[in-house]
Amino acid sequence: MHMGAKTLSRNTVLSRIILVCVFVLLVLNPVPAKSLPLPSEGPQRSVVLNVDYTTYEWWLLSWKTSQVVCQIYVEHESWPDDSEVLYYCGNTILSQWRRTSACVFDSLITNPQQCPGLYLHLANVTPSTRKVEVKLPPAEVLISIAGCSSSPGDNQCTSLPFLRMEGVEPLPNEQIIQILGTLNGLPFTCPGSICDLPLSPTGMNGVEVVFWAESSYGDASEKFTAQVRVIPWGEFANPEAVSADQPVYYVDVLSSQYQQENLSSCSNIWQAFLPVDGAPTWLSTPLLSENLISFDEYYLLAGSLIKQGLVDASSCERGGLELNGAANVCGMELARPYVNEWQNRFDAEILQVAVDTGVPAQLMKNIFSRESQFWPGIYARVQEAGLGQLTELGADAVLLWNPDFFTQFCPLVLSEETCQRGFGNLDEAQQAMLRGALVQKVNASCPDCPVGIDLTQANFSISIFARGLLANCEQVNQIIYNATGKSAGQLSTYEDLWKFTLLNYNAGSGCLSRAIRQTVINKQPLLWGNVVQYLEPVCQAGIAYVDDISNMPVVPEPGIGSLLATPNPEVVLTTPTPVPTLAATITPTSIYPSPTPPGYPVKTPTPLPEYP
Amino acid sequence: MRAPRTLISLYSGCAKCLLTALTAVFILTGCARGAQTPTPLAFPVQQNATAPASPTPTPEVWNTFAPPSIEPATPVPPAAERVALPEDVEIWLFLGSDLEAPYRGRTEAFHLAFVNTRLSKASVISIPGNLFVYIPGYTMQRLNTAYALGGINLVRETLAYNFGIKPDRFVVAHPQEFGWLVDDLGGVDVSVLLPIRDACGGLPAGLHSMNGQKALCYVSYLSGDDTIDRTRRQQQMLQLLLTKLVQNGRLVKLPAMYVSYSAQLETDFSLSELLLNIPLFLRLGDPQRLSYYLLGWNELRSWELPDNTQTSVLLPDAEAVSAVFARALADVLEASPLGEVVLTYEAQLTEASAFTPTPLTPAVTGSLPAVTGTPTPTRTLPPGVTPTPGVTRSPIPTAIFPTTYPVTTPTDTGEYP
Repeated sequence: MHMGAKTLSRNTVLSRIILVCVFVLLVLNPVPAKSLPLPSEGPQRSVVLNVDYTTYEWWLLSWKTSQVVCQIYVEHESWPDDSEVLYYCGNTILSQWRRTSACVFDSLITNPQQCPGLYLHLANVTPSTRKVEVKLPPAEVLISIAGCSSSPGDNQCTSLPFLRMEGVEPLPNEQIIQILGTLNGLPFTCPGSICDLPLSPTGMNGVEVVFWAESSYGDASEKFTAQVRVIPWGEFANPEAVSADQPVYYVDVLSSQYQQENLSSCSNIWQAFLPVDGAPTWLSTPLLSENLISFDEYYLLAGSLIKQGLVDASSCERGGLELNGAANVCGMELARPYVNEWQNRFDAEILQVAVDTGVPAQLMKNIFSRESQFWPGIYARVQEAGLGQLTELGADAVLLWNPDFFTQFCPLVLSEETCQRGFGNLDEAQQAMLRGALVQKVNASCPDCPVGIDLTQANFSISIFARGLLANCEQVNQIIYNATGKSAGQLSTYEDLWKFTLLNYNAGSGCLSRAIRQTVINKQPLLWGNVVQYLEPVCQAGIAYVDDISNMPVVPEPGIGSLLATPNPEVVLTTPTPVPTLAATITPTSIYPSPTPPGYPVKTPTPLPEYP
Repeated sequence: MRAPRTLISLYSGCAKCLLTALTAVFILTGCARGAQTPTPLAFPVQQNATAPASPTPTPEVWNTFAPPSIEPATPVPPAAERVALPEDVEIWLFLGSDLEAPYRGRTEAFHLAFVNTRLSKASVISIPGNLFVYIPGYTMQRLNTAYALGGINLVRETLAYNFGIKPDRFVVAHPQEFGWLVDDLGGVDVSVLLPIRDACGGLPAGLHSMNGQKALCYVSYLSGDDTIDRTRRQQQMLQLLLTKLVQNGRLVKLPAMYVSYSAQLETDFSLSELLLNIPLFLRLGDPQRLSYYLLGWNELRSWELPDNTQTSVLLPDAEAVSAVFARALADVLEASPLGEVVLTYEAQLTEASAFTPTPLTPAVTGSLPAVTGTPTPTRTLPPGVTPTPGVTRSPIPTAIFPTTYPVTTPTDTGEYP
């Protein structure tokens, strides 16, 4: 017994030693070396404010027992609302509270303890102060082209210009102390807040400029990038030719920090330069809305005008209408002046939206022509609305891929708190609610309006549509990046990228994504002609859609004066001269709106290796 | 961005390294020496920036210093009177930039040294970077912005305006060279006095062996906005590195180090000058010959900028700052006998150079000039040493150096010595 105790004692000591050793080993276990993070780069741009507030402590008590069943703390004078009761008390008590009605003494209830349910009691009012951290605005750098004598928007300089970088420090007593960066990998630095970087001719893909500002506050701005292209143009650039031509340089800058009118935002998204000699007509934005004027025959539009009573086509067979609601030839002839006026009535708004968003005006006009024939109401299906015939899928793309727009739109439908989660993190019901609200928002149908159309809504739908196109640009960029690991502008042209965007909009991202992946796998350049050959049959309707929009004829310099003199049908409803009805009814086909096939969205695949 | 490092052989014959080492050492040392015996000297510095008395400089001042181009947050103080330094005293300036070469960053490390070349004594004064001073031609702003705004010339002008002194020599080190130096010296053992928990991998109080990366973190770390504490850590590191550099004959590596760092380091010291100063460096390795001062809370006070951003800078107490400068200068004017430690360093260097393929010139490592009170107005080059007047600057590409607007660097009038 004694020996046994001694052995036990030894074992205990031994196991204790082992435990200690294990502990020591655990404590001293060498941790793999990690690179040390350096201390923060500079002070945090924030201030801490003391904000006064008042806490109201409410008690929910049982009438019967006078016991407190729940305590609720709110920071407003009014009673706690249901969500606050739910937060502090839970669902059961909330239900009980909601069932409780005012207690009225009667023959059955003669004292408070006989009242059913709960009652609220304000227990405490406590003034307090809390610290709130407020972010201060960061320094930034804006860039522009300097030393360039050219008219705005034409991107031409008669001498080699400078890239002007201007540091902006929003804090009142701080200054930008220098602007730093690299031009094509070579470092540069400028003391002070303004830096003029001399530019020299570049290749067609331009050169990358990285730039940022150092602030006296002790920190630096974000590092910005710009892709800058300077192309000598004309005979003077030919080293073998003797020319007295004035030198001309096409100068393009792609950067979020670039300050210029008529900014092509999708060009920025893709990092794709416009063609040196300018964008093709279908992707142009004229200086004047008059340059968007068109005089096309739109049978559906004419039909809508006839149905709304703007055009009296009673003299025509079947009142000038086909069974599908389009005008017949007779109706079209009678409606022609109104069709001409109507299809151009949104031009000014289209141009304004183009300037605001950078989406080419002519492109929007062409799409509206294809999608709605400029009738911003609903033709047949409530699922497509507005000039761009926005669908729920289109709305989904806007809300998902254009977070700026989502941030603005969401609070109109859902609570601020919910919206802060971002569209992708909302539950399906909330997403559907937003999509539906957006489609309704662009639906300009208005039975009580003079022509059945709310023109304010119609104009609003143009802005929404442009933002939708921007979202599609983002999506195209992401699809190409996912497939290749490169930005779209490195692999394709500005014009073809717009075609991809239209295809994405019309056929869905799945169609485009698969075709692009197939093109990449076959190591072909990402050009329109290459990509479309890999479109699956179900997606190929999109080719005609893109061709229609990109090949749509543009009326060159119309008779603006005569058009402007056209009376407004809404004001002066003239009786058209009857035109003999043709025996054969021409049914337009190619200009009918086409539905957007389903299939969106499709997850983008992982990048494919070794794409050049 | 990290430049390739070419540590060439000792046969290269160049030697900028010592300077780098010394620079970095000077940039970052700490632990102010014990009580000094101040010799009261009239040492005028700028008035307190918020002092209401005569806030507007007299017009004559602007004949030398450029007027402000930006409305200052607080009145510009009058210019300090020029300080007349004894003939043998030079002012060396050691700056640590927060950006890698070739960029000019904020000089978060700012250390001045009064160097008495005849008596082989020096005093280091470390100044927090967010000291709010008048930057000539610009405005009232933090001292650490002067270098980024106008290079070393503007730093000289700023020191001249605010302290009445103009550095004779300068060294600007970047984070990379500093890390290299620490690593080339085999790391450094640092007594961490105040623990750092949220950076540098966590540094509890106590002795820590630091490599270049950790040492850089240690001297860069800013707790809140306490730049004085950071400056103290920098001074501590400076002292440790200098001591380590002169020990065990490490100065024999100076030429190789100089060449290795010269692509990044900015200095107007040439290699030959460094070699000539090796005796001086050895002697400054004696703690009795090198004093450390810090403009701290006794000399500076925190001031919040009047813009509701809760941003604080440091404003000088003119008299207190003046007293520190006076003590620092007095230190270097007082002759001291050579200590045993210097003799040890000399012997170690002699021994190390004996095993080096290209030993340092006997004139450099050999008999050191006697320290006496007799002035030595001129210095003669030892035989075999060719002076290298040129200074190789950092490789900022001039070809693409852009036009700058506006001109914030005042023209050096040349009137200030």
